[in-house]
Amino acid sequence: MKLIFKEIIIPYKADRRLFLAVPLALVFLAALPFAVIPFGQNWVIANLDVGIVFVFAMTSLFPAMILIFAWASNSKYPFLGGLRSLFQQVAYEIPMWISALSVVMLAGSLSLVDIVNAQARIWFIVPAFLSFIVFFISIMAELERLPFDLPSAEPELVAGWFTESSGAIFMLQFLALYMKLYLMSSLVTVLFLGGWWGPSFLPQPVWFIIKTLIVATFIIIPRGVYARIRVDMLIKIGWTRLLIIGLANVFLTVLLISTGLTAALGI
Amino acid sequence: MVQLVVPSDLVFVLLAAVTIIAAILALQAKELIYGAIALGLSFIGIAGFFVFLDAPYLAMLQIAVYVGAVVVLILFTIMLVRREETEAIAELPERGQGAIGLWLAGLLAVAISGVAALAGPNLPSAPQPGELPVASLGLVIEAEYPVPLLILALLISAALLGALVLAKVEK
Repeated sequence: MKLIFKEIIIPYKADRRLFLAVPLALVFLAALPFAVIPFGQNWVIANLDVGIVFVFAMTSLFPAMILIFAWASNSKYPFLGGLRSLFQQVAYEIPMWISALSVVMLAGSLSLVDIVNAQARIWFIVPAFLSFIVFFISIMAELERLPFDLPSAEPELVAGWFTESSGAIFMLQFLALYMKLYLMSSLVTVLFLGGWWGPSFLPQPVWFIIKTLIVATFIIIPRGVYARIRVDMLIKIGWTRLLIIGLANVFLTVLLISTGLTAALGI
Repeated sequence: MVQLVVPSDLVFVLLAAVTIIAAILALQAKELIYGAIALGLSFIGIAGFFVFLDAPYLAMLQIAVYVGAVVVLILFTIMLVRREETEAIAELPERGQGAIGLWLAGLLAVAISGVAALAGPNLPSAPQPGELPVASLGLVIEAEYPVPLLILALLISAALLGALVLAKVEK
């Protein structure tokens, strides 16, 4: 609330229109995918056939918005932060898609509701454990959380791409970032942790929210544990390790399905 | 899918207007970055057409690949070029160009409507509106176009290997 009434300081020579428009677009983009996240059996706004692709399409627009904002601030630190944010998010998007692919293959559907329904007996974290790890690391990089917070590294870049923002602009950006955090946590819940399924003494949405909050906590906790990694390490891990583990896991999933093991597990 | 209550012609015209106006803006923008943003808007308009044609999967991929990757690539390139240089590039079009463009557009419109009028009744009928499951798309691609699919797969693996090699060289 305090942030709303603070003055919005627009840097000298900044691109006014873009500077003001991008934070709004970010919040919009972060809010839109919640429409397809199922909180319970009938607790979903729109059961899209292509739900998971929709979520990924919306999140793939984030780096472009961040880069535009960084450019519009017309200042050194946001620009460097924006570039870092861009290559980090683009690099980790691919392992993220590929690790989600094996879940889609297991469920046989792109709809998030069907994916959760397929986990009624066994959560996908069991048959697709590797993919869970790859997905988790990728979303931590996507969300720019420690140890992947290069784009907003305080000692080097002041505050990264939102250095120049203040007041309501800063509030909107922070809101968008935290909405993206909860969006990704709920996506982990949907894809790997069985969505709304749980013992029946609590209603389904409550289970869903509990799981999401636990995942979000695990995304935030490493902040106090790990140091920040170097840029070249970041890119190397993304493009060589995670990608190969993700692809290997896709083949593993094909093997699991074709040998009938998944059918035996009751998926 | 979401049921559209507005008349479909109106949706078509609106989508076409958004796509075309954004495309024109992309060409006319003084500042290159506005051009890139307008190009993204135009791609989103095309994605809207896919949704309109009951192909939400294609629409989502259009947004993810074109807006999420291609426009980002363009933005990235623009930002690595210095600002003064981008301003120098954005010069006014020459006088005759607009007229030639209009003539060409008119010719194209005549040609397309001529072909459509000739083909008239023989045009393939529009597919029945309704949901097309993504699985059937995969089946069609695999059953009818196996060779292009294999070539595409080869191309993508070659690109991946190339990325790996580049990453190794940097070290």
